[in-house]
Amino acid sequence: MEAESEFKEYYAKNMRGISGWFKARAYTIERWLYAAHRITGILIVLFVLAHFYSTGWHPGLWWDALLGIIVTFHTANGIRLILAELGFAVGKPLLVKKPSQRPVSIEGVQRYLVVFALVLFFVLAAIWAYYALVVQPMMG
Amino acid sequence: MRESTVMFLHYITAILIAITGLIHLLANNDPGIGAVIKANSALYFGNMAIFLAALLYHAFNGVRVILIEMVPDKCWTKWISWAVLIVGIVTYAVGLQVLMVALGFA
Ligand code: HEM
Repeated sequence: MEAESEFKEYYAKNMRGISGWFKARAYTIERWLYAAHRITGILIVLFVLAHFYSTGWHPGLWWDALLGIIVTFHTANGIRLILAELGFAVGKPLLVKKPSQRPVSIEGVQRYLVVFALVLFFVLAAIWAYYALVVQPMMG
Repeated sequence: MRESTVMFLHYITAILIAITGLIHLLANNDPGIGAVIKANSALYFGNMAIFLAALLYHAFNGVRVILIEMVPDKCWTKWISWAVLIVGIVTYAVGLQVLMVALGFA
């Protein structure tokens, strides 16, 4: 019974649905990155479905560069998420006593991972844009 | 399958997508490296077979995770999971068929 009421409480908390993704108060940067991760994930699925339906379909030139931004963000941030979710670089748990106190799980190495993911994102997006805007037009 | 196993596979497929997806991008967008990869049709096909499987698992499980979070109900979760699994397998079968025809394997 105890477990059931906890379950119901958990469900009740999720009642905001999609609007909850943007309930931005007190978000850390990781939480923003996660919202962006979900949105880019959905956008890639939409692209992939079109890419399958008319096999090999591409939006073309500048849209391809935009697609690159979406995909490389999801990839770079995804690598960070995999590390965090498998427990790497998370740090030891610590009792959080004040609302202003940040959990250690998002301090220290985690912060470097965020920077790493963002830098990787910019580099990959630039390489992709080069191929989309320079190499592809030359290939015809 | 336990939800933790499903998610573990979600991360494994993500890594597979990163590797096979890079090969796919190079094959089709880099004139030099692309020619080398395409000259070896077994490599091209093998890469595509793995890429497609990993991508479909990751994409459809991603959609499933979002859906069951929005409709948190045991019964719905079950049906959503089955529907996604069946659509995913059918898509893989059709995709492999299209690939084999395009590469002249079938
Ligand atoms: C390049 C490699 C990729 C990496 C490293 C990656 C990584 C990840 C990770 C770690 C998650 C889990 C987030 C979580 O629930 O904790 C995720 C979710 C997701 N991914 Fe990917 N992904 C990649 C490519 C793709 C592709 C190609 C697609 C689409 C076809 C895609 C679609 C999704 C979707 C829809 C979700 C669910 C979003 C959510 O749970 O909020 N991903 N990805």
